[in-house]
Amino acid sequence: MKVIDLHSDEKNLIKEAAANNRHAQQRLYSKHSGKMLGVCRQYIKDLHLAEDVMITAFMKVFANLKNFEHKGSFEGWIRRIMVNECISYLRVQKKVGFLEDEYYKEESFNNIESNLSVDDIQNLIDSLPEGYKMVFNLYCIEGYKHQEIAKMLDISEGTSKSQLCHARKMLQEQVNKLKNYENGTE
Amino acid sequence: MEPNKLEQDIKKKLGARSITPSPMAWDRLDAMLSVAEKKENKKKPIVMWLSMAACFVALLFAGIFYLNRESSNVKNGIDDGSTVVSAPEKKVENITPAVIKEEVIMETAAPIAEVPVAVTAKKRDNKVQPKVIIKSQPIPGLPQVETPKQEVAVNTPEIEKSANIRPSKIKVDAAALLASVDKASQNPTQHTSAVAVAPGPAKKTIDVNANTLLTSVEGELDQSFRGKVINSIQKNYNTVKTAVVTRNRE
Repeated sequence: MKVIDLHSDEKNLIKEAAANNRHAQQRLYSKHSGKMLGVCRQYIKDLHLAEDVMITAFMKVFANLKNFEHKGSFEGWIRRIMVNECISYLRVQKKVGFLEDEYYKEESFNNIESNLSVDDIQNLIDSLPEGYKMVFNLYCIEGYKHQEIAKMLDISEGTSKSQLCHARKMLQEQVNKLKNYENGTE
Repeated sequence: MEPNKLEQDIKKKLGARSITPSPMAWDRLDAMLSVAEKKENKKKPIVMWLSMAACFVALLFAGIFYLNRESSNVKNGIDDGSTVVSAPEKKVENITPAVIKEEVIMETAAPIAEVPVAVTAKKRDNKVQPKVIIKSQPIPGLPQVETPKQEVAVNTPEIEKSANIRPSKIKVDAAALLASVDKASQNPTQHTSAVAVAPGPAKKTIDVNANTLLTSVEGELDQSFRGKVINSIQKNYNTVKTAVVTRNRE
């Protein structure tokens, strides 16, 4: 019963927010802004810029609330808008470059178990080149397929695969380095 | 390339992460939303005015198109709403072919005697007038009757209205004329439409189709000339109308 109540509550909230009810909009913002800023931060290194992008994306969310059909989860819908906004921001800033490299190796990476903190993980991702980072985020965290990524980033499917392959390789190297540093072997 | 444990760990940790935005973030978003709402409200009257202007322009174009079509129709001699003057087909007997070239019997509302008439094209000031002049011809054996001259223009309602019916100096006694016609039409072999003008052994009948005659005349007319004629007739009609109105007022 509680789940149903929550669902209907969110539905009403969305309906009111779509009718430009500022209070409902603020409630929706308060509910989702934390997570969405986290999403934006995955793509944009600077937190202030990430916040700017999040605000712009929320503007789009409220402008298009009438088009939300309540078929999927509302959070997933907002997340998609955030990701698209981050991609378009990085494109406008010309921070992303993709080498049309279709070389990739279908190999399984070493299953490294890590006890890395969120900040460490973010630092590792931040250290990746923008192209690698974007494909890695889209594939491994957001769960998009290579075909979808290729369409979103206007690259070939092979390029997407190769970018992911390079990103994984780099990440593993860095994790290994970090482990060795912690163990005092390096 | 399946995600390994490291990737799953990254996904889990980053997915659950929440970064609290700065307190000013909502204020900025609120301000942006207010501006967007104002813009949207401003757009509505602009759209309304634009749609009204579009409707006005559309109506204007439709009117211009309609007027152009009307004028072109008048130039081409096609007038949808007007009546076309056409003489009905009637049998005409020509008694004296040397004198009368072609005979056209015009059906009129008044019981006027059907008299053979000549159709001629009248020239005025080096301009061919598209008029069919119906002249009465003296018929031997009948009392001297002179029918009023009728000038009929083809395919123009204005002309029909302003058909110049000039009364002749000699007045026509309609009764006498009818009597004479009745006499002549006592011959059982002839219908009422055919007029027996004078008895005689050498009767020559020429059937004239008024429509074909008019069509042939029409073909000879120049388009621009037709327009000029229409204009002149309109002018005359207006003059006559003004004169009549002035007279009535007086």
